Amino acid sequence: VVTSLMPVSPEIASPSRTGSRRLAPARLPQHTERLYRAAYALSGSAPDAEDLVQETFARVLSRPRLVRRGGELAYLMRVLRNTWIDFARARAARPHPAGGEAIDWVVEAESDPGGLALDVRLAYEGMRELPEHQREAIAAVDVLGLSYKEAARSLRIRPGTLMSRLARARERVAAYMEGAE
Amino acid sequence: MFDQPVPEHQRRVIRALQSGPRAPARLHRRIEAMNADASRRLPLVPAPREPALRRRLGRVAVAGGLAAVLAVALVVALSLGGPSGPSAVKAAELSLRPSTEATPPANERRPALLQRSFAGVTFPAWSKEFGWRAEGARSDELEGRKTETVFYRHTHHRIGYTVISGAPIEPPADAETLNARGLQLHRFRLGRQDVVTFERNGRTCVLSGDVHDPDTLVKLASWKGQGAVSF
Repeated sequence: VVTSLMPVSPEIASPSRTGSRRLAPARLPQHTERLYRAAYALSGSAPDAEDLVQETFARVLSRPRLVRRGGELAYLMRVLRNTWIDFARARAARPHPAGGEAIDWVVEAESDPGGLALDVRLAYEGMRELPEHQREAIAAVDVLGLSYKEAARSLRIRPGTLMSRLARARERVAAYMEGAE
Repeated sequence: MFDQPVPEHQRRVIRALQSGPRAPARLHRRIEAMNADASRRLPLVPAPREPALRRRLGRVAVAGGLAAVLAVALVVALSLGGPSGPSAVKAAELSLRPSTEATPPANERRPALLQRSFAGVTFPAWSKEFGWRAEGARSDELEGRKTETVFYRHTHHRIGYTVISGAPIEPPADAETLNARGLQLHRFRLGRQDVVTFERNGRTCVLSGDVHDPDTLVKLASWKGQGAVSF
């Protein structure tokens, strides 16, 4: 259960009797990398991913909450998703002249003998072809690293729904990667 | 139920997604700064008494933290005012971005100003005079230059006031040059936005937004607040 609280000092971010803990600002920056990847997966644009992460942290820091023990990342995913929805609405109402800029991927065969860098590029390109709900599922589990249970709670869907969306999303991205080779 | 084996072709997808793009260093710096700012703003709560050794270790950690903050501040200070400059168009596009920082409060002693300055320029407070109230802010880096933007809103109109660090930048070649209240401004259109650029205290300022009357931006930019807004 996520409960709203008054702001608290980070020094007292200790586990409570209910197994929840107050969100500790000092612990948030460690999630920046994973959150950025998830934001990029959702938006497909490097500047948007930056803005999304910054706005997500701004929202979280402005209203510290009580979250489940170990549930910080799931909470961040929920806020990230809400932020993304707000961005998408604002963009629909007001076209952005700069447009989305994808990351400039440069993959040299010699420097990537295992082909991982190429796979990364293709996988994120494939993500852009997914419907929104599948993209959210794969971003929460495969990009952010949430458990199925955490991801389902974070996206407010049933675990079974998450599993089926995830499986379909992985299949479509895999098909995209194979088709692009 | 959740332990079904994942086929190899899907594992390849997962491996690729987990090795995705890295967050730029500037984002890490901003998050750290926001985090430090949030920690400063939180109310002080009495902490339980700690043993002497832990207190000493805490002091060492605080000293280390201060040194790190000073080092970051030095790096930021050195990076201000680099030789290359962003375009006024890119700066104007920032006004379409969302705000990511809190609204700067009004300066009670100097009501024509907000309590936020950047690169020697203090953002004006227009709510009493013009009805444009400050609403959020953001910090960015454009082609090696730090910028700070404060957003203002009037009914459903929103504009951004961006200050660019470093030497002044040139306006677009097709910009119209105006003079209002002794201030030289350059005005141009960017899609649905009107944009004016001008200088304050040696910095380029860009005021941009979707407004009814393009002269609104000129009027706001050139307002001196009875001398409180310095140029």
